[in-house]
Amino acid sequence: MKTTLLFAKTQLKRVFRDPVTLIVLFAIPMMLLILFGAFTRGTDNISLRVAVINNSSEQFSKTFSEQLKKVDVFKQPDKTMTVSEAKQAMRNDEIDGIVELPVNFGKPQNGAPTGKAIVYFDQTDMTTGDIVASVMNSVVDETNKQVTGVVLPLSVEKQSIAGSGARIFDGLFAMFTGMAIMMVGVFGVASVIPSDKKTGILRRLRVTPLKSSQLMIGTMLAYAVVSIVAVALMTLLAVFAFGLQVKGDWVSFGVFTLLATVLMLGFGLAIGGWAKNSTQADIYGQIVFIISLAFSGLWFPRSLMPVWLQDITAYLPLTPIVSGIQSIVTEGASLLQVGPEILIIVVWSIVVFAVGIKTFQWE
Amino acid sequence: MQKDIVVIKDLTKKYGHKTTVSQVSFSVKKGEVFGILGPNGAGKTTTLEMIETLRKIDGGSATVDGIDVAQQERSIRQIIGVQPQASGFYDRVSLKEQLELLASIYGSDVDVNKLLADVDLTEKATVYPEKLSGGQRQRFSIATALVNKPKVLFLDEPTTGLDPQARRNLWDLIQTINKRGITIIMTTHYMEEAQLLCDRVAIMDAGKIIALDSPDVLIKELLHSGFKKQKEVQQADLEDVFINLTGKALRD
Repeated sequence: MKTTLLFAKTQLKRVFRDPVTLIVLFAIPMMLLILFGAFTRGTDNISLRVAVINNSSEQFSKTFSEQLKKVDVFKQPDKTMTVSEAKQAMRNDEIDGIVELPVNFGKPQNGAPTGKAIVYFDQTDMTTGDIVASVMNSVVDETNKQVTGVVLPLSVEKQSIAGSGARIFDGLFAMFTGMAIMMVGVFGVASVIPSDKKTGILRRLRVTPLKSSQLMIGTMLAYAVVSIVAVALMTLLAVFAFGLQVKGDWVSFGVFTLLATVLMLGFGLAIGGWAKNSTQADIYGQIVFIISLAFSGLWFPRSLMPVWLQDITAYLPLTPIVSGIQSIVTEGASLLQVGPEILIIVVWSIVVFAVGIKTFQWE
Repeated sequence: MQKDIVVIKDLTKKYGHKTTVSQVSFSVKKGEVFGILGPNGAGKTTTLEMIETLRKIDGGSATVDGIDVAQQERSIRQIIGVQPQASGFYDRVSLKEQLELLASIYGSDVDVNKLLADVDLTEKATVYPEKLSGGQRQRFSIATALVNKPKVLFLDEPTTGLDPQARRNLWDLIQTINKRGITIIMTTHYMEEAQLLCDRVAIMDAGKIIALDSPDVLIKELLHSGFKKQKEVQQADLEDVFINLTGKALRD
């Protein structure tokens, strides 16, 4: 036990004395979180680039288009355009939608202004079209009320409330923290064992009474600390720089990320213990890493995958880690509520450790 | 005469159909420096590694201090010290930290500062091994092999690649360790090294021992058979010239 702890301490010193390892394991996930966090900042308030084109000479139309400028959701382009120019701009993706007030819009009939505003939107982007149309509807309703003085008996009042507060950033935090944990395993552990085989130190230790269990547990303990530090750094960054609010309790968060760590260290042990050299370990580590990024929702959302693919990818090792962290952080899920995720993690852990212990080679 | 501490009988190693070590037998007496000589591929290192528990023994037996190597690997590892051909250390771990780790593995109460002083590396205690010179690496490697106060020390080509000064320095170190009563089994390519250090040598070729005795006896036997050196023996050689010019002081 004493030897195992000293062994772990020695390994830990090596990690913290190596700038390259520190950059790969700590700086890369933190930089990704900072970059993407900055990119997505503010996107929680929708804003659309909408050109309002007034072709009517009526006074009412002029007032109406001035009013549209006050609508927060619409961000109008600076220059005035004709309808055909605006359509071209929409094809070039310079604007998201067009509101045309046609000739004679607002021309009085029976003392009240009349007319039809036309909304153009990209047919492949129904959501934007819906939003523009619905904003226009509410503006028109309001105007009708003012012009006619009639209050319609039924109306819908829209009021936004802070729901679970799930923001894009919360998802990013879960993804990159899961990725950071994975990197400690498939890049940290998986590469240090073969490189120690190469320098001959493992061979040297083999002629001492050191047991392979002491070697494995010592290595795992050292890198578990590395993983905990990585998760802590990511969390501090998210909370203090991006205002992440962790809804769940810290014990659940801690226990869950520790279970995730155990699984990823197991992957590292299985790959590094079996690999004959660093090149081999790097290749297999990369394969596991890239498959995980691609299919566990880091490259594109799993919700966009066909259902059968979602069903399969749910059982990949990184998927339950990311979704579990997200549930705990944004929904305040308890350990019991992320039970299905924990079950997948535990089953994977048993598999990778069994393979790792069985295929471990000293040289 | 001292009793045998290492007893090797019919030791055999096979790789597929190829037999790299074939029924090798010898005994090493307690306190002896025993050399295994031979060209590359003769099976020297393989023989050593079988006794060191690093390679499976395919035939025959080996005992160290009465303990069977094949049966009790861990007990053997506790009482032997090994300096492998390619010395392996942890990078970014100071010499002192490495020795402390090894001491913990053996459960040894050895004084690591004394150990470093013994191999003349006191000033390098906090240095990482990647910063050491070739001679310093070999000396440190020997220090790591002495952590458990071994009964038998194995040295695999300890002076290969060293400059003449570092070699002489290492010879002194090996003799000092031997004087402390530690039995040494070593391999080497250098005949003058074997002649100077070894009480007895085994000469191996193609996996077999073809001669085994003290260097003096082997030389006498050769002379008795009527052998004569072609050239008149000079009283000095080029190495003597080199050492005379550059001095014995260590350069690392």
